[in-house]
Amino acid sequence: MNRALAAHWPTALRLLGIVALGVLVPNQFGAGWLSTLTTCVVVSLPAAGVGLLYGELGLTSLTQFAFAGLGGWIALRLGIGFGWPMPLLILAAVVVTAVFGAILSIPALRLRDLYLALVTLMVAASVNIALNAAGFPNGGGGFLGYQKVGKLSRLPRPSFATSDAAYFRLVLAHAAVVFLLFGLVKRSAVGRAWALTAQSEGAARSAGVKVTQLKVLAFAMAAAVSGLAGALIAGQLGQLAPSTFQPANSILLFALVVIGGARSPLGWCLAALLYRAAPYLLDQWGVDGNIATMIFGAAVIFNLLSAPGGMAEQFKGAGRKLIGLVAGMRRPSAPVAPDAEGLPA
Amino acid sequence: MLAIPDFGPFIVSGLAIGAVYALSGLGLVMLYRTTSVVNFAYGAVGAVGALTAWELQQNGLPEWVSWIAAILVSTAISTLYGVLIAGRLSGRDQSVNAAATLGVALLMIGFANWRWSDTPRSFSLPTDDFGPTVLGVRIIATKIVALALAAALSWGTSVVLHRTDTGLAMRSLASDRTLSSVLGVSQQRFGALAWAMSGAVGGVSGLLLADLVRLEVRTLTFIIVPAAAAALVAGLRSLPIVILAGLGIGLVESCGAVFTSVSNYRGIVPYALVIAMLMWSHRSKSIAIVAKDGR
Amino acid sequence: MVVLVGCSDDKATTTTTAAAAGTTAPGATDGGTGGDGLDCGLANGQPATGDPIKIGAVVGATGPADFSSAAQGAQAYFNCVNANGGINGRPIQYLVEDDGWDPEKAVTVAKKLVEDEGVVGMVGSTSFVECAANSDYYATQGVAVIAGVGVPRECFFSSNIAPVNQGPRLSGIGAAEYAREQGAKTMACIANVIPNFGGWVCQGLEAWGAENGVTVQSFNGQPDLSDAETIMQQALATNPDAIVVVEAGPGVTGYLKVAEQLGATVDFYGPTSAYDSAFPAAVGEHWFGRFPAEIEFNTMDSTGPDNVLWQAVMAEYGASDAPIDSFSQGGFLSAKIAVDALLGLDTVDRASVTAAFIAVADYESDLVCSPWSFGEGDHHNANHTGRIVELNAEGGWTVVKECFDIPDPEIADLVG
Repeated sequence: MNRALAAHWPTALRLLGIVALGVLVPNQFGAGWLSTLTTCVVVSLPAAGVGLLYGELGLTSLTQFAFAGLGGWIALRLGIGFGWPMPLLILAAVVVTAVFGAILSIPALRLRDLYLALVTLMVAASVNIALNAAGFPNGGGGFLGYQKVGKLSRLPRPSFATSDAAYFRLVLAHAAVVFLLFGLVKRSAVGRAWALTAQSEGAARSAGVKVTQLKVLAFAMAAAVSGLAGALIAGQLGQLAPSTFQPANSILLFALVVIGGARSPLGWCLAALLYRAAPYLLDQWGVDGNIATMIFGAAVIFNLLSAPGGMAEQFKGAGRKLIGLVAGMRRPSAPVAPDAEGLPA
Repeated sequence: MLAIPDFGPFIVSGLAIGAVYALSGLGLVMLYRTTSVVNFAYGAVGAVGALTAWELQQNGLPEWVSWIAAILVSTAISTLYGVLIAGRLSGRDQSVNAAATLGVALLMIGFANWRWSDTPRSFSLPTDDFGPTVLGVRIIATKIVALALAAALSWGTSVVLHRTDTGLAMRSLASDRTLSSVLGVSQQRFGALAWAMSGAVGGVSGLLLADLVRLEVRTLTFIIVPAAAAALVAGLRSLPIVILAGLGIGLVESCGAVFTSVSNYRGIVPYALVIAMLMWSHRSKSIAIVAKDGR
Repeated sequence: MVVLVGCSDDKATTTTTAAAAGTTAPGATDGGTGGDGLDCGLANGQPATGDPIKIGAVVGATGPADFSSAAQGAQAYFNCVNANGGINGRPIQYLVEDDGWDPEKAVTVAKKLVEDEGVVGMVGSTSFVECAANSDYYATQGVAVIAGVGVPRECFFSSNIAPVNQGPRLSGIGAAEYAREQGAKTMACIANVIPNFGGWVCQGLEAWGAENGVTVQSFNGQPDLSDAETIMQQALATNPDAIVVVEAGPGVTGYLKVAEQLGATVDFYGPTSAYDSAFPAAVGEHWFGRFPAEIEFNTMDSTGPDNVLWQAVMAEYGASDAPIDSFSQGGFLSAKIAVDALLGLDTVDRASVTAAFIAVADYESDLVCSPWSFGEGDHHNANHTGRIVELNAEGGWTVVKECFDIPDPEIADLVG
């Protein structure tokens, strides 16, 4: 096979896959699943942010849902208060959360690992307190745009994506663009500098890597995609509540990204599916909600134990074996995948 | 409202809730120093113990039996986790270890809500019935017990860690697992012991917290956030500072309530202070030339 | 992994397995030999075996509090109806979904019920987040909801939702009105900070106070009560004559415990959620003889035919651990109203059921003080007349004030 062509066919295949998802999911699934899967695609964005920080730089951030809440708040405030169109809302949410993300990188420049994780958890708790106290904009006046009484206002969906199917495709397109961008950045000089920084910050600095700027960039990117997710949820639901953006959800998402595989887009998707589709499936099977929580907790522990590199790596390993078998090539089985989280050690 | 706000009751209440944070923060740091794991399930495990005690009391068992049962249940869960899971995760990142304990917390929350459905209930200790009145606020003896327990634990733990061979082994394991193992310290044995002790302490605090805060598994689980803040102030090391920090966080949070117009946001203040403090204390930036576990 | 099965799951499998969720197989309960003698639906003792009629409910079961009591009450009544002839021979298949107190989930499960399951209507729903999340959706889809317990404001200000209860705001104002009659001139309102709930509830007490010469100050705590002591201190610092705590049952219990620990001597009042058979034992003797609560439905031991039926149905057809409380009565009543509306229909489909639900007017029941109506319009609060019960010295409840109109300025348009 032509080498150049061979290098491109995975990308083409992925694009084809995304288009297929966009066509098939709304046709093949009922309204409940479509809504669940829309949320899964939205959640894959903050999952990508967690994956970027943890997989590339070994940094733990537990603020993803807090930033999503912030993005959602901005979208509702500007959309309901001033009638801005969806693209502008998304832009505003992305820009503002990126700025907040950059601010959050200040602790990240000074603190590491567990310290950073716990600090980001406190930030997440603070945002949740603020969201509970301020409420999401619902048609009121003032800076907060919240009213205790009076008719509840909702954010309308954009005219080109009013149906659930169209909105799913809109969300999918956004996720595809983000994943593509993340992939490009990871393969660029920036990505290589991240990898070096994760290995040894001292070595990176002596090699002339601008560590500070690169960390700020990573945090801003992770926050921005969360802000994007928040704006998309706001558009999906029309109204929001703080319970969607609790700190516990961010911890859970982190655990799921580790389980799925922090370094691969497949891992981010798996994390998002585990986050929303798995509980929904248990519900479909008639499992009591509390029992489902128990199963979920046990699954988190079990998967952290059994798949250090994340499920994505296992799938890829299995996939490679399968391809090898199909092609009938005699080569050693797929090498052990690099341990995603072990990278910085 | 009064022209000059009366801080009195809020100071007293703040110290009381601060004692709760201190006790939980202490539990976190004790385990961290012996296993280098931050346990998000600490409150949840204590809550399951307290709920067990509640159920036994409903069935007419004497209070002291129910308390012992609670401590046993918490110890058993914690030890089980330490033996079966924590040991096998010991080579992984601290964040991953912490995330795994969230799995335990979910398991406990699901179990507690399934086993003890959400009906009105409350849990009281005999120490609720007496206590002094300070600044016009009645302080039940349970709150004093909580603070005294925190102080005793802080002292006791220091003695165990620094004056006994067991303590030495635990500290060496926490600081470098591989090296200590090579030197003949049994990871399994001392790891299990650390988790068992943490579970027992968690069981005792679970009983106190169920009385002082609320007999509800979610509430008791997420006390972990302010407790972690207290632990961070102490650099995840100094037990006396955890107590002071816990009291401080309780105090700041409670006194913020005096300013009614912004009081719904007051919970943010202690977190902001803690973060600012950490930024200040870590202002001289060190660069890790060789990254090591814990970094 | 579990997830992968879900992703490859096709639509057909999904809908068939979904029937298992929170439902009771038609006619499966009690053998249906017709010997129960209960006046449910047609009351003919014949198990219904026809094509099931799907009715849905969205409840907040997992989360800060379990709000599934009303749906369990409704479920018990539907079971009884199914054992007694169903809806003209057709059993009711009751699909209860949990929203986990999360609007995103609430939207998903509502779509599942309405579009995938094709429920003809919603009955017995109880949630903190569902009404705000789904009110427009129900209107668009032409689904009518007879909610068991409406909690936030949107449950009462939506075209297609009508709760059979009064709501926390009215229940709180009712309690405050009784406190005023007892001589209270200054009050504190405590309700959690959840948007569209706590602020709305306490704003109600403030608005009522302004019209009735009572000063009311509001305090909104965290939903998990983690700051209950501070909130209580805040309320006590204003030195009020009375404190009205508007929370779910476990929440009221939590605040009363804190007040007891602080040695508070002020009078406390509660809403209908405190009226739970488990409540007296939970708060303890300290509160016996000194805690009045406003109740939205009749007393649990009252002897009217509907309440007696509720007791019997819960004993015979309710889950063994189903709560026996005010909300259970609400769920039962919503189910009874729905069944009576359904029995009058020739063809049962969504359009006819929605029309029948909205057409319910002046429904008489001893469970409510005044007749209940759904009706057209965007504001529904037919149940606005309540009673006051007091936790007596023996740990039981005594009625201290019979049916009275609750004076909420916000419902002036309904009272006329």
